[in-house]
Amino acid sequence: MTGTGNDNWTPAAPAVCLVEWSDALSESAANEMCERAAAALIGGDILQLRLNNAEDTKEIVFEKLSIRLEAIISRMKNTFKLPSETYVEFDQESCGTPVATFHKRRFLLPHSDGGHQSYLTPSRRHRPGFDARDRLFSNKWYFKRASHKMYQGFIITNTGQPPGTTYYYSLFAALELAYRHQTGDSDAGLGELAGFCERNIRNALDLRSTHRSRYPTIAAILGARDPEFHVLTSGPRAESELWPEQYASMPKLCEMADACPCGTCDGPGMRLFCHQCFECTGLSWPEFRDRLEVSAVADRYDLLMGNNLTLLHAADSATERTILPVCFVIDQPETIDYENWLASQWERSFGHLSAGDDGKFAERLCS
Amino acid sequence: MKRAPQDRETLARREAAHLLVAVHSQLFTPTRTIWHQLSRYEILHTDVQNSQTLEWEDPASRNALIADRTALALSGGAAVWPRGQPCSGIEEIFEATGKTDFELAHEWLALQRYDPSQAQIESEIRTIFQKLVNIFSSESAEGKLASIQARILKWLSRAEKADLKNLESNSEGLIADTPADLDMSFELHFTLRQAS
Repeated sequence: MTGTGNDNWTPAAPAVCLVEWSDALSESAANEMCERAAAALIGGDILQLRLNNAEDTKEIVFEKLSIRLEAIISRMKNTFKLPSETYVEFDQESCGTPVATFHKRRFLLPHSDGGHQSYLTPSRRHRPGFDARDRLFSNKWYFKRASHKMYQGFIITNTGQPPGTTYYYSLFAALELAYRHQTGDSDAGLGELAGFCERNIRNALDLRSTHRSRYPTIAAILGARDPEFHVLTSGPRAESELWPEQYASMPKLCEMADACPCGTCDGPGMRLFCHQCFECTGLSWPEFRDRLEVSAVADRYDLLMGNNLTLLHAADSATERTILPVCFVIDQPETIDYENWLASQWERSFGHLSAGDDGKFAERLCS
Repeated sequence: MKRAPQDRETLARREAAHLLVAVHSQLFTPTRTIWHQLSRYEILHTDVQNSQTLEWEDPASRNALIADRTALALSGGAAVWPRGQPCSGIEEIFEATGKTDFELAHEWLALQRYDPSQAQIESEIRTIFQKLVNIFSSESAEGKLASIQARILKWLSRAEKADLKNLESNSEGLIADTPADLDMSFELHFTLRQAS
């Protein structure tokens, strides 16, 4: 691929929006917190929701958060046109953080949760020819439910020591970086980028029997053609190996897992990820982080949540860190309401905003 | 698969163990065996495919597959474990199995539920690895391993003769007439409870 267009361009990044919603708030203040939280999520930012009741037990925290999340999702539906079929999905609390052998921590590389059927696609409002069935990448094995996760989040029940950091990367910004790099066109609009995304997803689906990944990789979404770049690292942990069947099917992966473009990445997974970033954007993984990364360190019982399709998230976690995953999900991502919601996410990011909305409303509310 | 330099006999014995576990599993069957000569080492791998429809969202069915897949991943290491020597340390199992297969087993075990604990994953690995070592220590298993290993070595010798860097074969020829008469049932002791 030709390397052009990304020498100095740094795209806009999402903000981390801290919403402190304690029991002591008046009804109108609580209402405002709910509005802020809903606006942050709809606006593509990251919500950090804090209850501020240190004496609460874990069960009480879960109960209170559940009530607040129901209020937030209801506000998102009523005010911001989140599809009415969307619901809150709680998972099981984790028992710990599995790490590669001989490690005390893990770096989970950027991904979407439930990526076998939750990843960025164009809206059919922008790309009428897009087949909604292409929102399912694999259904052979996964954890745990077959739902389309629009927003992913988790309540931290043990931060680990030192506390874990969660990182976020705008996939829209990455898509624009990739398009600029691969075409030299720095003025692409929503139509070109949605079409680019559609073609890339189709290519990744067509290559499934070769790459055998359960999730589309970042390189798959950003337009890498060769199947080696479509291989999802195990976990997907930075420290981990790939699957034997993937090495056997694409032996070039052995060299890619052993050395990366920047020469500084640790672990086969991170080195492969570095190759993927470099192939698609011309940036090594450390350079990619410099341009796009936003980080959040949450306290015990904070909830972190962001758009699971338009943001990839990564995490550096100690082995004792535990979380309770919670997502806003839909079972069938193919309704008119879903297409409209997805279209609005694309439009906010690429400047096609509806009247009276400059795309910064969440930022203003949180400032 | 062990992505490291090793002699041809060891390479073939590891793969013979993978094939022997696959022959005994009710849940998957071996399909094709692939070999590549890379610049620093050789890699050898057998693909398997599920042999029955799986109820993935049913914890018991899911865990049965995970147990067999874990055994498959660890079998190469168990086949080269010194006979009669007990194994207890996860580091020794890692060393014998190699990073690629070990982490494959680890990932399968992690699929049981959302982030199971490290200690319980490693405990399952120790249990299944020890069972494999016990199985492979029998004369019957040794005979089967030796037979499959010999076929693999013969197959790979074609590459030498023709100066090939890659070979691929239907796995059937490597396991023909290998009876599935060993006790190769594997189960998980800790994480099924977590997943329920």
